[in-house]
Amino acid sequence: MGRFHRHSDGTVHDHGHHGHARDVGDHSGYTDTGISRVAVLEDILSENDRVADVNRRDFATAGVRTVNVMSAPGAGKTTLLKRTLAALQDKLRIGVLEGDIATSLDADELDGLGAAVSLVNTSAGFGGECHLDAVMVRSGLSRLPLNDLDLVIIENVGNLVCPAEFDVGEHAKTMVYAVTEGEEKPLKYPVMFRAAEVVVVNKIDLLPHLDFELDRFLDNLAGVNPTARVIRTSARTGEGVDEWCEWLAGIGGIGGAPPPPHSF
Amino acid sequence: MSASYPLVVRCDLPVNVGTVDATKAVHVHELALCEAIARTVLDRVEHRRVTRVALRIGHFRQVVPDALTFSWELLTTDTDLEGSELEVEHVPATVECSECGAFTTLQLPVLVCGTCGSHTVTLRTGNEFLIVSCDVAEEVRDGPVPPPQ
Repeated sequence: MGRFHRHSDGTVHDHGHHGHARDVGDHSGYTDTGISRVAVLEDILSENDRVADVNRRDFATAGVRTVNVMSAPGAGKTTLLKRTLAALQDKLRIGVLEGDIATSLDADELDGLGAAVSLVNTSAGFGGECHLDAVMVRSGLSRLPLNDLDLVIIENVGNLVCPAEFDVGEHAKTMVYAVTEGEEKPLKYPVMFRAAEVVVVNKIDLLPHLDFELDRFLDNLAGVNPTARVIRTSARTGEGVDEWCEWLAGIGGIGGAPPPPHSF
Repeated sequence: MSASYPLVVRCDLPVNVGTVDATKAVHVHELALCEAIARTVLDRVEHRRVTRVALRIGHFRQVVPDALTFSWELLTTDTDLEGSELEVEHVPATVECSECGAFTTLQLPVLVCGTCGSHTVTLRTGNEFLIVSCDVAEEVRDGPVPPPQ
């Protein structure tokens, strides 16, 4: 049931205490109803964000850069990743943290491509978590030799909603979007499209066969996220993958642009 | 929790409404959020009974209030939080225009000024994701209430 759980005697606790000062409420004003109000004023995801900060510090200490790759199921993350590893394995030391609800299918696909792969099955979370959060990423990092890597690629669980909400300590959030998904997706799932620094528009080899209007999609994307960089690819044919790899290599510290500044 | 619950499954489109066994894997965004809320609240209330938790959630957050309150009921059954009410204050999304200075309330997530049409705008509200407060039941005490420490 995850970190928040119940014991057979009915007590509930979590194993993630942070030792911050406890607010024990306003005891000066006992009301007739016996109810007092405790001010919390904490972000819903603050616990996650604290762990994300710890991950960030570990990345900084190891001198490794991290990129979170998100998408809907079936957008082509794993196929793109296979091409990416093949193209970059002689240039960068890459680790992959593979988020999957229950299987190792994607991690198996990446075997033998020169990357250290750590699989995080999220089904241990309550209800089979549909995203990677900072704690899950932390658990997966322990199986990667961070000090010997230049770049860690986090392949998130395929889902257009949840992964965008959770900071895992990455340097850049990216997403893979397939042209088969329709033009309106940025308006329907704005949180992820807004969070992404790079949007890889994948499966462009299918454009001649679809009614999809690329310009309308790009307008919708620009409305939600005017600064997103768009990279058009076909992970199947390899078209455009070089541009993506060049951007990744820049993040990883070689070639192209220098790594972007970050806030820690 | 072996009983069946009517559950709105919302993480991936389309929205499905059905009856599922709560012990089975269900991908509900709001359930994960409720877990986070419950941990934070339990950390603050020192085992006192919680009657109400107040949240402030911006329009641009992908949260369905009904799914959130339902997930809360599901998650808090048989805990110190059982029976507590989750109160969600919705904050509209507003942008301030850098060109003309106007404020616009947005429905769609497209960042645009409603007065001059400029896209050079700054989001002022709508991203909130806050646990504001919680109400706890105090023990009934005899005699004078001790002064605050």
